[in-house]
Amino acid sequence: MKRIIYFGLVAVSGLVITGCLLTGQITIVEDVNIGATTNGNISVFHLNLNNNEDYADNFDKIKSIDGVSFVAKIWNLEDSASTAKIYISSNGSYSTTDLVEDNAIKILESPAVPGNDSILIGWNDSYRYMHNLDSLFHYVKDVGEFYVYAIASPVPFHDSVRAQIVITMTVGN
Amino acid sequence: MKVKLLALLIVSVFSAGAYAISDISIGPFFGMNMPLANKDAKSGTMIGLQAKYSPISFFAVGAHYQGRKYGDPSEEFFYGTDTKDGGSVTSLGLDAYLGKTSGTGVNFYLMGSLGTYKWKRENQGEISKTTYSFGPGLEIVLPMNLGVEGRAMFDIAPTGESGSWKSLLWFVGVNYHIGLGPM
Repeated sequence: MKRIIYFGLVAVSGLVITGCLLTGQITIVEDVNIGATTNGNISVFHLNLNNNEDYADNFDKIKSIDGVSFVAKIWNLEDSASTAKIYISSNGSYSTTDLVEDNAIKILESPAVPGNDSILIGWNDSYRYMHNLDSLFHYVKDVGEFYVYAIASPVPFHDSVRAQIVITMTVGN
Repeated sequence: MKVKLLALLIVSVFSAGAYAISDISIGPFFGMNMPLANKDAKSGTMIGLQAKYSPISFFAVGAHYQGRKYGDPSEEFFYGTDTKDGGSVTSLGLDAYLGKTSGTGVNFYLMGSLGTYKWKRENQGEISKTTYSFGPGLEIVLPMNLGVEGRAMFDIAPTGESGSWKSLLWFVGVNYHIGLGPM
């Protein structure tokens, strides 16, 4: 019986020492209210994740980012179909679609939105439209705040976007 | 001489003598897979198959296949409550047992396990990790070579950055014993 108890204690001790038992996974949801965006007046949203209490409390305890996506409702206010795109950057001064496309990182491209209509990208579907996740994970894990741009193609476009970022991460001591 | 010894060993394993010196059991199990401190998955079912070999009275080795199903997690969004696919995990692994794992009657043991962890979810890439499990088990073996087993395990899959995903697994199973091992 002593051997059995010793075996169990060694197993638990090893896991505690490596920190494995002291971590847990949390999911945070934060608003990204981009609003109306046109090719002549591109909307940019400053996303500061530190405004989220759970994120701020755990920023220095993040072990890994396990998933990030954007849920969104996208309205196309033009007559013809368009595709919405969300970019991120540490620079919030890009004012044209060319500057955004050349310098920011595309992290979402929607399916086609019919003219004068809207689509909803729900949580389960959101993962299929994500791009450049390594870069997005870096911004979420190591930076904590960045600028979110919404553009669309073809030009001209006139969209309105209401979104939320959903982050699942492992945190602990 | 070595050839004769090897032949003798093989014959003894596959002869009636094996009934007295070893126990091999195999059987299916069914249970639950309960994530701990994990917001990315909910509890689900687990089914599997395991085999065990007890060469001596206080030690056994084995192998298992597990198919785990996670429940779908949910969150509140601006458009209402939504869910995503919890997915499923398959695991192939090796087991080691300390305790009484053979012979008729009540057997009690502690076990440790090392296995693969492949997590598949709709719209998300497959995740492959290594998983470690340990916990106690109890099996009641009847004289007709059938055993009814219950086991609980703490399962941990390190994520590689000092973090981990943890689950509590439990199951009940039925094992058929070929030989009943050292009494």
